[in-house]
Amino acid sequence: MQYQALNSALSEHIIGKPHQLKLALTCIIANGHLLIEDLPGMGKTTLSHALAGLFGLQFSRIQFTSDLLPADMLGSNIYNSQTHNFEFRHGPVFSQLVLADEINRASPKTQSALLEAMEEKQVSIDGQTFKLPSPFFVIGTQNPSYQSGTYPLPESQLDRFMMRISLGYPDWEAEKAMLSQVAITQDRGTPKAVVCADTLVQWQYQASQVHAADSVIDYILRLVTMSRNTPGYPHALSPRASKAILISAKAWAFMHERDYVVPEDVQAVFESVAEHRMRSANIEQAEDTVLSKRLLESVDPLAA
Amino acid sequence: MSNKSLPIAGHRASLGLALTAGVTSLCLYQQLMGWVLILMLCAVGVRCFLFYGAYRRTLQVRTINLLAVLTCVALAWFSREQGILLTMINLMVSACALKLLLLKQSRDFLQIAGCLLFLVGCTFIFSQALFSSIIFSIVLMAALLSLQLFYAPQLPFKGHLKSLLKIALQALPIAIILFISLPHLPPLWGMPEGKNSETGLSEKITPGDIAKLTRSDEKVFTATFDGQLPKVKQRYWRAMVLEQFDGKSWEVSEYRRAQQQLLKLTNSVSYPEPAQNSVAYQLLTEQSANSWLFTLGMTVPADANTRSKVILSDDYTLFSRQHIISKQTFNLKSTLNTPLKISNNDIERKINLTFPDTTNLRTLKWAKQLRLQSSDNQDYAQKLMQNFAQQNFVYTLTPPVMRDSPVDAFLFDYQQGFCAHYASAMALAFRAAGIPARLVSGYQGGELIADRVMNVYQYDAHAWVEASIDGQTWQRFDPTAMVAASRLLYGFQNSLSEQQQDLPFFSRNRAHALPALAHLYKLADTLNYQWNRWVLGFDDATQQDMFTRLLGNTSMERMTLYLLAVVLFIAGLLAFYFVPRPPPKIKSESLRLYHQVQAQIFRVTGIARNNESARVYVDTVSSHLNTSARSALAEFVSAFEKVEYQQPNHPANRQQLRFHYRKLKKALRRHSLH
Repeated sequence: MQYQALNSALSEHIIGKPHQLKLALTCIIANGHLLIEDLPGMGKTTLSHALAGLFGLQFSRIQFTSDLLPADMLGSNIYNSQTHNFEFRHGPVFSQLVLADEINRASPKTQSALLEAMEEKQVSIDGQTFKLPSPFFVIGTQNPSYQSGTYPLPESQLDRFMMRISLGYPDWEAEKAMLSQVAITQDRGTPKAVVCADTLVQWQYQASQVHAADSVIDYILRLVTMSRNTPGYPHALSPRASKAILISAKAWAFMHERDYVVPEDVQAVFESVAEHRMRSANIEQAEDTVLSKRLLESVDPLAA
Repeated sequence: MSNKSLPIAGHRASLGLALTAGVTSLCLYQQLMGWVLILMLCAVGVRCFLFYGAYRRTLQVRTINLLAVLTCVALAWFSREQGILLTMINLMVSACALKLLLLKQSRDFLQIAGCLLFLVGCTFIFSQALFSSIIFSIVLMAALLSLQLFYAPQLPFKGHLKSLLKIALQALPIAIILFISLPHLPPLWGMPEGKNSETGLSEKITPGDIAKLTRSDEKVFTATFDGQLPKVKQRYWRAMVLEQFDGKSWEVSEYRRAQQQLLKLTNSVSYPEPAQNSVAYQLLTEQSANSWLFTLGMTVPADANTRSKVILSDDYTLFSRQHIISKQTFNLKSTLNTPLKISNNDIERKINLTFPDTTNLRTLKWAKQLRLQSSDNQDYAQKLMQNFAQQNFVYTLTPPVMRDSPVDAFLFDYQQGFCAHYASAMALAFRAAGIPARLVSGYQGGELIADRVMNVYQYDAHAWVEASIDGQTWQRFDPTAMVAASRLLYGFQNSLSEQQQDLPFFSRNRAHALPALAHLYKLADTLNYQWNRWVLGFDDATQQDMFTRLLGNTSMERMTLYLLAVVLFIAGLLAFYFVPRPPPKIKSESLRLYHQVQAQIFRVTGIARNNESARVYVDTVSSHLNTSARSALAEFVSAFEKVEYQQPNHPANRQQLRFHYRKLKKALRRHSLH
């Protein structure tokens, strides 16, 4: 299938992170927004560039800074002196794929404007409502919150991102390969589109049709219930979270050419879907997926 | 748990613990010194402020240390008058209070919680009545609840209550079994004597003392009669005989004290046989820290157990060998009509004729004159009694103060007083005329709370006279009866109509005016009586009795077997609580087959499935299986996944699964044979 090609094209840009790339693709196919959390220089921007290019999506990038205003992002009404009318000037958010770079550097006001647009898939300015293009994705990147000059996203807004992935340092071999690549070609440029946006929409539909048996749904329910009833989880998983787990598990199964979900699919996506919803804001980066790992270990996928 | 620092504002467990500590120390208010109680309440207040975030920092450790040193000095200072137990309890409470001020780490929390549980235990030392037991149990629950809040702060409050209730219900049968069946141990430490308990009667009466007691509606004892009740006029409960008179006060004579000490040392005391028409009753005493018991006329212990617990003094009063620090029962038999004999030795007669001849001169002179006018001793006694009736004597609880020559002042100046005044005057008049006489203090009357069950309260306290008219036996004279006959006939309440104003509204005295309240009191009394009788009255003797009835005899072997059975039963209960239940039968066929396969693989390879998914587990174990088993397993799992996750209701898939299951079973059997 085409996404094999997609995957290999993607891995040319980000070397040595096949699992993270797969998760990112899953998130796109599950029609969810993606949050990439990492230190500077780990390839966050490169990954989003590559995703936009490979899907042939209309792409724009918003660099978030502390003085960025909602209007800078959404657009504003500007007076046209020839027609004596106000005209709406579209902001950079009117794209199919928006890269919200360093989202936690912006003020909370701007952050919530973006997150509102993400949820509603439309923008309201001065009483007028403008539909955002479809498909519409936001890839937010975020520095770990303990870096200075950042406003950590509140838990309620973290929930809007279907998945959170973290790239992390590449291993020796991967980094070596990357460095030798740079020696050959200085600039790769924007990657060529492998699939078109229509195909993506079609995939999204197919992924949503993947069959999830009762036992899989029960498994997801056991997981979220465990997070609600057991001490030690700062924020329990919401129904929105359980929905996200199911949709991304379906997309994961679809990526593996299955038309049914198995518990392994749930386990594969669970950490990236659930961890950022459960952890409290002040948890150290080091214990990255400890909560979801503990949940997975304590819930039996084959319980009667 | 590691020593984690706790949040200060909004930490429910800390607040719960603080409130529990406050309530516990309020339960102990009689035992605590005022300033310790105030310290604790302040600490609770500080915790409340911290909880609501009114301020955010606990006190500095240095401040607390200074406070602790000061507290210790104060406690050491007061310890001499408080006795060791009370000092220790005060120390614990003040330590809890100071730690509460400091509480910000999990270690602090656990220390306070432990201390608190111990303190709740201590409250039972001082009161074991039904009502207080219920209150203390609730406090205990509150302490456990705050521990639960500490360990699982996220859980909703309702869930905590539920699990607490469950744990308590689980513990209850074990507690009951242990209480009934474990042999009772003697107390590990002695109780401090009488510093804090309210005294019923005192060993020294200076007329003017008993007024305080008369107003108290505390219960003194409960008597349960076996047969007929004694007549109202015979309900004189003798407690103490006061023979030593110094012109003002009557007290137990040195001679008697020495005699009682001697009797305590000897074990074999022969008791006179009770007469045929004796009254048998069971005395259930409230805790009092005193040792005297309450008897009607000449009394002997009715069974061996009581006999071992009591001493019969020569003055026909009965003493408990130990101080009555908890409720106790005594089975007694009293002969009501047999006169008490005066002892043969001359000392008793001499003691009962002694009086100081420097005070109360008017009385002495008057008595001698009156004796000369009388034909004999009996006539003299009659005249004395009539004197009280004819003159304008008034029975009152608020007599004027009589400091010098009190008997003179009472007889000739004021003519107002209560039982002790009358008895004191009469006894002195007897002695002045050469008739041996003494004061007896005790209780008179009693309230029937049930058929044959009688409660006696502190306000029934009374004093009367015993005189030896014929030189051989003691005869009872109650001069108070001449003045306030109704007090004796109808009980204390009815005689005091004009003095009820200064009684507290909800006191038992008042209850007689409100039928509903009286009914409630009666109900509470009955409940309390049953509690005392069945729970607190369950002492070593009763237990021994039960063992004998249960086992036939209490030989070493039988007791060992019995205790073994008890321990096993408790172990069974614990197992019932804690051993995990076998999982319920799995309904889905595919899952059932999978779990069977899993069990077999576990038997073969010894690798457990730790909540791994089906395929991951198979991947882990397959390297431990031979080729045929491995491939059979792979096929089985594929079939399982098809049924479980793909098309559960497809019959062909199910058949496939069953087929692969059988195949795999065979392969595994072959594998384990090799």
